[in-house]
Parts: sequence; structure tokens; C-alpha cells
Amino acid sequence: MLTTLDFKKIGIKTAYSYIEKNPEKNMLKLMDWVDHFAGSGPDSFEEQRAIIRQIAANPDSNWHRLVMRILRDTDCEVVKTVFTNFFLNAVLTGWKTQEENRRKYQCNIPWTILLDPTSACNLHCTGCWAAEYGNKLNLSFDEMDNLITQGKELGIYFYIYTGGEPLVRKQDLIALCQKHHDCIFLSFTNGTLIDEAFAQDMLRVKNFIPAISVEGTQESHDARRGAGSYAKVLAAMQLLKAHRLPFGVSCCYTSQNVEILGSEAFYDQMIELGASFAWFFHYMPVGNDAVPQLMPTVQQREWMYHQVRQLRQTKPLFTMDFQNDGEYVGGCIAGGRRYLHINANGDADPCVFVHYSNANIRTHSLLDCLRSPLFLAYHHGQPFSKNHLRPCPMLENPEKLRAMVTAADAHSTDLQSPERVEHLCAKCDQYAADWKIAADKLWCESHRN
Amino acid sequence: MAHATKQLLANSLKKLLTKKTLDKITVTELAEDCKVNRQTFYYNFQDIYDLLDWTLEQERQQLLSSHTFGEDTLKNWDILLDYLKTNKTFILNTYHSLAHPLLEKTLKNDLRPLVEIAVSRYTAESPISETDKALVIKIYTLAFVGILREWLDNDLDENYDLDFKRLLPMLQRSLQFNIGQLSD
Repeated sequence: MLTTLDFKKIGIKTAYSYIEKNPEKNMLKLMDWVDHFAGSGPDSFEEQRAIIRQIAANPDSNWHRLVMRILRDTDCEVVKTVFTNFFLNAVLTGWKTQEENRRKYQCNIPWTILLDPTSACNLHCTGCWAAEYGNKLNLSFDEMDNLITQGKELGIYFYIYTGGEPLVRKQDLIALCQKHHDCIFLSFTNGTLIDEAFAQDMLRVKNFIPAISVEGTQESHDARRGAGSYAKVLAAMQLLKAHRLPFGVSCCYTSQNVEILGSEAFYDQMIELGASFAWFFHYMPVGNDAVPQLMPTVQQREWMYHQVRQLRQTKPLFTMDFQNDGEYVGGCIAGGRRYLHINANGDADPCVFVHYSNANIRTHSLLDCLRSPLFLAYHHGQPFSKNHLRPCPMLENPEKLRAMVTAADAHSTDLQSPERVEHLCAKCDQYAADWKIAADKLWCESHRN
Repeated sequence: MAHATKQLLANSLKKLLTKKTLDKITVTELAEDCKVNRQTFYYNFQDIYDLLDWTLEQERQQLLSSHTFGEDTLKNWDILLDYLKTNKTFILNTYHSLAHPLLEKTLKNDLRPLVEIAVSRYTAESPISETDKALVIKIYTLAFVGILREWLDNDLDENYDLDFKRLLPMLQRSLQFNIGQLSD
């Protein structure tokens, strides 16, 4: 973390003055400042900084338009906090510390931690376990506080809430934002609990960014989440926009809705509503009650692959398609390589979709969770394929997850109905075989290969 | 509601500061003292310094609202000195901690309006430019802060010979003289 003294030393006021006064004109000056701060050598993000510089210099690019839109439409104090906590603490400073600790402890050290404050949810959506599970499980404020405190010592300044509906615990989340005001927090949310008081709290703490779940159109959204829930999402977005608060959307694409979520019209609508980013998740057949038919077909996934790449060149929206973007992050990022998941029972899962574990934060330190057998198996096994379009040890390489879970003797941490790894992976075998053919072809054609 | 909780925590802080210095007080202790959770503390404040900052601001406003600060500079000054004497342990336990810059900031905020009153009185007779006025206010505010710091360094000892009775009229005459010189 940067102390007040560090801030003086690095001249943060100069950087802030560029953000405050005409950021469009001062973008390149700000990048000069960042370059000076980052230095050179490994883990200083030279390649990425060069790309940002190109964007800054080219007003016609969609990325330039995105950055300017964010700077123009976001509260200035929030921009400064996100700049400091995300870019300086989580990326430029934190990453180096993570790499040092990775070498020191010979295990994965993540860049971000996903955690479930609660299993409770205020909605009752079709096919979601949270509806049946209720609010039986919660991580206490002290447990989350302790986890973040341990995380910061390892260089982790970015925390993401999943669930359950995290905002059921919004008061505690704001308290964590205040206590750890050097960190950046993001929360997946159904958006229904974002009200005026919470918007005021977000403006006060400045380090909390919601990612609202959207299923596509009003029709597909309400069909899954209940009548009137799309209207609530729109109301939440309008409220955030009116308060100049940044937000994004989170979308799970399935065989039923992929054409909607990948469409240009959907992008345009999200941009219009004020979203800065859209995160796409491929439907995963996780859990005993999963519906494998909802997995996108090979053709649908291939279409999504091209669609996201094409729109990324033209639309002012920061998109990530986690299953198809492995090439930018070296394949699987789970198992603590860049992230891990802590559920509402305290179990340390390697991934938000892989519910097996040997460790729990109530009985193990964060570092010991990262050194537990299943996490070490990830550490030694990554990347699970040289083809980064087949990154996952479950979906595209199910034999790998079978082997790791068995060898590590990890137990199912599913809160509702424990699932055997064989049962889970069997649902992926055919998919993996089919996708391999398309993925290998795409990978051969990819310039990244 | 939020204000009531904040005030509750501020009262606890003031209470604990009569027993020990700020650096020895923990959030857990404060939360226990007013029977709230640690998360309630952190929902309202980033840390103890944040709470102290808020507490001092409340004290300042309380002082301003419960007294009439009039044209008599010496009387205004007495009100402030009385406050410091009455809250001696609280103030000293704050001063002798890492938080002393916060206390100095509050003193500066307390003193500036008093100086402004005095300056306005003399500039009514001898007008000066706004730039000069701002500078004069700044210099005399810092002079008063310096005097108080000297007294704080000597534990607000009432026997410490700062000779306020002579010092204040002296500063007042110097202020009047300077404004007269700056006026055309």
C-alpha cells in the first residue's frame, strides 16, 4: 500500500491535477507520470502501458471514446480513488508484491479474491440455488476483514463479491470499503438493492463498483428473474448514472440467449445506459441440478468468439469473455494464479465454478489455503492446455479436474447438494471433445498463436 | 440515525481520551464502550483519526454555537482558552499522539474566524486590498496557533508564563499598526 509519505514522494497531486483539469488534453501527460511511477523491467506492464498510450493519442479509437466517456461521466473523486486503488495499488504495486511472494512461497498468489459475503438472495430465480438455500450462511464482517488484511500483506488490493446477493450485506460491504480504503471492490449484483442511500454511500467511500447481472432483453431477463426485475435493473442504472458512479454489467451466455447478449444492439443498449464494462460468462453445468442443454453449442461459442473480438474494435465498452479470452491471460486464471473463490461457508475453492477444496479460511490462513493440495495441483498444472481457447480444467479438459480433485482428495463444497467430480466432469466430456476441433482450428488462425 | 451513531462513538472517544493517549485506543475498545459492532464503527469512519477529525469538528461547531463571538477579541480568546482548560486531558492526549496535525488543523479553523473579526474591525477604518487582507489573516492566525502550540508543549500549564494579558494587546496593536500601514 502507498502511505501518505509515498504519495508525497511520487507526486500524486500532479497526477490528480491532470484528472481534475481537462483529462482529454492531459491524458498523455498522465501516462508520462504513470510511466515514471511504473519504472521498467519485469512486472512493470510495459506492453500494456504502450497500448494505453496509443489509445490516448488516438481520439478516433473506440477505446479512447470509452476512456473519455468514463472521465466525463464519473465523479472526479471516484476517478481519483479508482486510479489510485486499482491502477497504482492493485496493478502496478500489488502485482510486483504478488510475484515476489509467488517465488518466496512457491505457490500461486492471486491478483484478486472473489468472496461470497452471504448465501442469501432477495430474488428467487429459476435454476438458482440461492433461492432454495436462504440466508443460512454468511461470512462475518470480522472474517472478511481478516481475509482482506491477510490479502493485502500478500499484495492483493482487488476484491470481488459474489453470492448469494452481496448487497443483502451492503452495510458491512461499505464498512469494509472504508476500513480498506486503499483497495478496490467490485460486486456482482442483481441491482435491486441499489437505492439512493446506497448510492450516497458509494459516493462517500469511492472504491465500490457494481457489476449488474443482465440476461439480455426485458423478456429474457424477467423470464428468469421474475416480472419487474428488468425495470429494477434499469432504475438502478439510471440512479448510478445520475450520481456519476461507474458500473458495469455481468452476463451469463447460454444456448438460449447467446445471440441476444452478443448482438450489437445489446452492446449499444448497455453503452446507452451508461455501463463502462461488460463481463461475459459461458454457462457452466455446475451442480447436481445443472441443465447441460443450456451450454452454448460449438457454433454459438465460435460466433461469440468472433463477435466479441469484432465489437471490441468498434464499441466503447470494455468487454471480457472469460472462456474465450484465455489468450490474453495465459489460460486458466483460477486456483489462485490470478484469483480464487471463498464461499459463504469459508471454503477456499480454486474457482467460482469449481466447488472442491481442502481448506477453509476459518481453519486455515489465506497462504495455507493457497498451499493446500488442490491449489498446488492447479499451480503445477497450469496452463491446462497450450491452446488458450481451451483454458479450463473442467469445461475443456475435464480429465484434468478429475485427476486433480482425486489426487488432492478434495471434498465438494457445494452448499446445497454435494456433487461428485465424476458427475460434474461427465457433463463436460462430449462438449470438450466437440469444442477441441473448433478451438484448435481457431487457435491456428489466431495471431496470438 | 447515522449522526446519532457517530455522536455516540465521538462521546466514547472523548471519554477514552481522558484516560489515555489516542495511539493506545483501539476500534474494538471504542465499539465495546458504546455497545456497537466493529462494522458499525467502520461503516461510519475509516479509522480512529477519521473519528477524531469528526469529533473535533463537532466540538468546534458546538463551541461556536454555544458562545457569541463578538468584537471583543480578548473576550473571544478567553472563551477558547477556557475550552482548552476545561478539556485539558482530552486535548493533551490528542496532542501527544500521531494525530497532532489534526488538532492543529482544528485550532487553525477555530482561530481564523476570531482573527477575521479583529481584522474586519480595523479594515473598516483603514481599508486594504483583499490580497493583503488574506495575508494578514494568515499571518496572525499562524501566530496564534504558534502561541497555543507553545502552551500545549507545556501541557496547558496554567502557571506557565505566557503572559496572555500583555501578549494579546501587543498582537492587537501590531495588527492595527500593520493594517494602517497597508491602507492608502
